[in-house]
Amino acid sequence: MMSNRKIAEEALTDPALTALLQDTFAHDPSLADAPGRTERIMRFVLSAPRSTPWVGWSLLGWTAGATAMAATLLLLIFHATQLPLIESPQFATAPAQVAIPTAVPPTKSPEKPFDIAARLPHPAVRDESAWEWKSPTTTVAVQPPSPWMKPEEINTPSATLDGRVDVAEDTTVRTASALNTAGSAAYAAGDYETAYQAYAESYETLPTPDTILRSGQALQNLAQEELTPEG
Amino acid sequence: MADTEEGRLLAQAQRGDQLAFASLVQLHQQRVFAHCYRLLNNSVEAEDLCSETFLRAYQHLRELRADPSIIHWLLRVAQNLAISQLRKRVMRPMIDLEDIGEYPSDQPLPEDQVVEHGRQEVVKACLSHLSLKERTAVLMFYLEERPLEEIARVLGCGVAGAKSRVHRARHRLKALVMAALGEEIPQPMVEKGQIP
Repeated sequence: MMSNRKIAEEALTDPALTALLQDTFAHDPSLADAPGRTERIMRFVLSAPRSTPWVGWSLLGWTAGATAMAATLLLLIFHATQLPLIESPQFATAPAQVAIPTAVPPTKSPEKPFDIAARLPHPAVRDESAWEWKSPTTTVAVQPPSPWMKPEEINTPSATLDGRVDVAEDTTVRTASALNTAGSAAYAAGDYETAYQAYAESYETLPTPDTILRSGQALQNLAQEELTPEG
Repeated sequence: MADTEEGRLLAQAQRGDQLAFASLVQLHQQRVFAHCYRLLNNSVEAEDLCSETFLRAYQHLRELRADPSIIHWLLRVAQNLAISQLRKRVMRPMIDLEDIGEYPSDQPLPEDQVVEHGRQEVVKACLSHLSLKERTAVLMFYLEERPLEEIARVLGCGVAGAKSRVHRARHRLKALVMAALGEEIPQPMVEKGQIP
């Protein structure tokens, strides 16, 4: 007795189609036995890596990329609308939690603004060294002016464009130069008070940065001299 | 017994015996290659697919069961790889789409193909118009004369599914062949030959 499955197979049988297909592939040279195929397959199998770790890395890469893209998209939408990301009734009672803060509260007490005038030793004289940090125990040594830091040449009278020398200006320059020379002499002798006065007068006559520096140095030395107890 | 021998070889291969695996390759390579070749109709691609199929078998050696034979597993893997291969062909056509309109008259008509390439090539071309699972079904049932259970194992479906696929593929193939040859499928003139 034939089973139902056999009957079904009998119903599907088509000798004409079977013959056509067998005739199609019977003389196909590609289907002939190929010597060395087993060796080729074994060489391919044994030379190929057994694991495929790239699958995991590829998946990780795609996941990271998709997450980054989603985050970027959300940020763009958020910035475009300028609205809070979550809006639901439960947040309606606390709008301050989702509102964008308009001002940041100060984290420390405001300091007194930097007072430039207070750092000046004299109204007319500024000491540039006051801008630098100094150790309280370090005494300031007076260094002779280095050759590459020559003071401005103030003895030379300036000339106008047509070559004529201005007489009034020449007098001022000479006076300032004389006062500078006197100040330098007093400074070298250790008479800082006289040096300071000479430099100050020179600055009033002809204000130059060099004169300011020298007067400031003289004043500083004078103050140190007064503060130091004589012994 | 062949089944017993296959089971013994598989067990040895699973213990790391490469010679036993090579014997399994020797045992099944011709049928796997023929299956790939008939599906793809290209011997070079079929060789690659055959090697890839045995590589998958080697990578999943511990999961293989000779129950009743590993050939069904191999043919199923080969079929899935063939589907991927055909998808690649679709994504990477042999000719540019722009060139198709330039010389349509150069393409031979089906009638001319009969004269030029013979009946075998026409039947192969008609087979290529079936889906891959229909191709597998019709080739296994009519060419290799395999039972429906075996076809169902390779297709990954039930026997009823395999039967309906064979039935549908048979009608589609006959219609295609009749359209190409312009006549009914002739009755066999010779006795059935030995198919590898």
